Amino acid sequence: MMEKSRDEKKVREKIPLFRSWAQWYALVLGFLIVQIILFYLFTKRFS
Amino acid sequence: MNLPDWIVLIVTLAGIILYGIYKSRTSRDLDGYFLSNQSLPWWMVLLSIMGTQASAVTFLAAPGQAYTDGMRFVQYYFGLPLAAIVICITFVPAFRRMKIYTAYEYLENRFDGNTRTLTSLLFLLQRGLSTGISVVAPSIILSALLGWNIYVTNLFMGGLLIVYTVSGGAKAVAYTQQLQLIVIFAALFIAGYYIVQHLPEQVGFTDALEVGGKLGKLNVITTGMEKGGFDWSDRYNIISGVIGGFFLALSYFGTDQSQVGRYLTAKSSTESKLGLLMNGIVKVPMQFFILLLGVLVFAFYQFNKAPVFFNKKEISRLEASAYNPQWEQLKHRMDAVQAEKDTLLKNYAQEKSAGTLQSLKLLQQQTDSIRKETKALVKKSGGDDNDTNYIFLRFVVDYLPVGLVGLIIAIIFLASWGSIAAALNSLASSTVVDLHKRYRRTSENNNEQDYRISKRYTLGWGVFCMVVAMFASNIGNSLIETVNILGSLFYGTILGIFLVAFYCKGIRANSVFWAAIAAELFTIVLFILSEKNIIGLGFLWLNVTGAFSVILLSYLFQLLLPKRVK
Repeated sequence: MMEKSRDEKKVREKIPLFRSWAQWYALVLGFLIVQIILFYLFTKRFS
Repeated sequence: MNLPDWIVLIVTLAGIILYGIYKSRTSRDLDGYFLSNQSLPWWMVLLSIMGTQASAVTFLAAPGQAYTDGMRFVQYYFGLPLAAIVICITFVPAFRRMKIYTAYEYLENRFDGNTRTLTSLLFLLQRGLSTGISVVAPSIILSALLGWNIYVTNLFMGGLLIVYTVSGGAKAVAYTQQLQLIVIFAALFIAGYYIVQHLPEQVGFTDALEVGGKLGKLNVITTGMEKGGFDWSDRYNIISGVIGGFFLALSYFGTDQSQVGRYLTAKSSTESKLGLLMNGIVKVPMQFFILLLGVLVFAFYQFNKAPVFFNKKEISRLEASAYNPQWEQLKHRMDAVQAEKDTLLKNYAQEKSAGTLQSLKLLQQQTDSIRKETKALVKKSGGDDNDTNYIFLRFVVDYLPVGLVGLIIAIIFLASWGSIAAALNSLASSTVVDLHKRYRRTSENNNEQDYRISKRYTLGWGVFCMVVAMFASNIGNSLIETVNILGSLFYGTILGIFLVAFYCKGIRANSVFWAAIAAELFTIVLFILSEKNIIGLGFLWLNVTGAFSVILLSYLFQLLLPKRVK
């Protein structure tokens, strides 16, 4: 490992909007599922 | 192009270069040059990730892909949000904890120097070649369409950005990408609005969707199932999109330094994660709307005369060849079909009946058949029969108003610059950190010297990519397409190494090293077999087979190879 010149940040980082990262992951996953459902309906509607 | 188009093009490009140079001031060390002093907020990380991923071909090929094959290409991105989650859970904390410059540094700590060197060399090989190709691919299209000299176009496509990338490093890359994306989205939005506005009177946006949908272009979700079984050679469907796309995105965002280098510039681990997750949220809709532009162009061409073949240069070649009489016949047949379409759609705005759309579908089948015959003729005459990448730009040049044409041409350059600049920065960082500083050990840490060396390597990689682009200008599209698939040849192996590093704690360095070499050879064999149609395997699956091969072979070599004494 090369020597580093950066200062180590030990600041406890606050997660924006939610209490945990798990909730963020659920949002991303949920959004993907909703998109796939909407795309499916879109395909059905116009095919 | 008219004078106003040239003015818009030159002012836009010059503006980006000047802005890049203005934002070049950074601390004269590796932190400043490669990590922008880890100072960027999440939204800049997001724009930088997007700007790196979206190349010129993204904006040229996607609308053309929708025009010819429908919107199912969007499924290719379904694995991306899932990969973003895994990267946030595993990769980002590991990289940030170790405070690394490149992803491959992590591998030396987990395994050994050989594994780090092997992985960084695989990265440099594939990224160096594919960056050269990403210079020439849009240049070929622009030169064919606008009659520009290919070498001069290459010089503008890949040469000018070197100025700010060398001087400003990661910071200049991120700031210019931000501005580039704003211009790109604004121009695409205006183009979309213009297409809808220029549909016939009383034919609106939903009518265009009805037409596109009935003619099979709104196939956003497809299953890949044929005759009761799954078609493994089918490139884009929901299963290959979610699974293959997941592994591709995991490799690309988790192990490709051109992307890792973007989120390492964030001011904290939280900002890195937010940038990645937001990209997981916006990428699929963004790609959907770019593809939708292609469907709108397709609908536009139902009401207006469409070219039989979109690459004018190939048509000129055909006209000068012995196949000209057949070509003339095809043109007459196309004119007859278009005349029937015109009669059918003359009163579409008033009638809008299912019968009209059914008749249109039959006429479109004739159009497709004529296009297929034309492509075969182009191929017979020794030309390139793939005109997908020309469709959107041909429409732009033929129909968009003066000024907007210049702006759309400018976004091709800007998109290209965004991804190439990030690639050069990452190629230089991996060369300096993973190779130069390790194999040419200096007695002390000299920030100023490191900074100067990094600038030289960035310039060196820029020149290398330009040389690749100049040579590739003569090799033709088929080889370029093969080289574009290059990523999938290496990504699976590189991802496999990282997955073993993160999740297979007992595996030793020599096991993963030899497993990676064997897996890479296996992947190349699979690719060759697939190219020769001996097996049917879409290239997305190579990411999956490559990654799993490394994992399985690592366990096998762990049993076979003796424990290395340190």
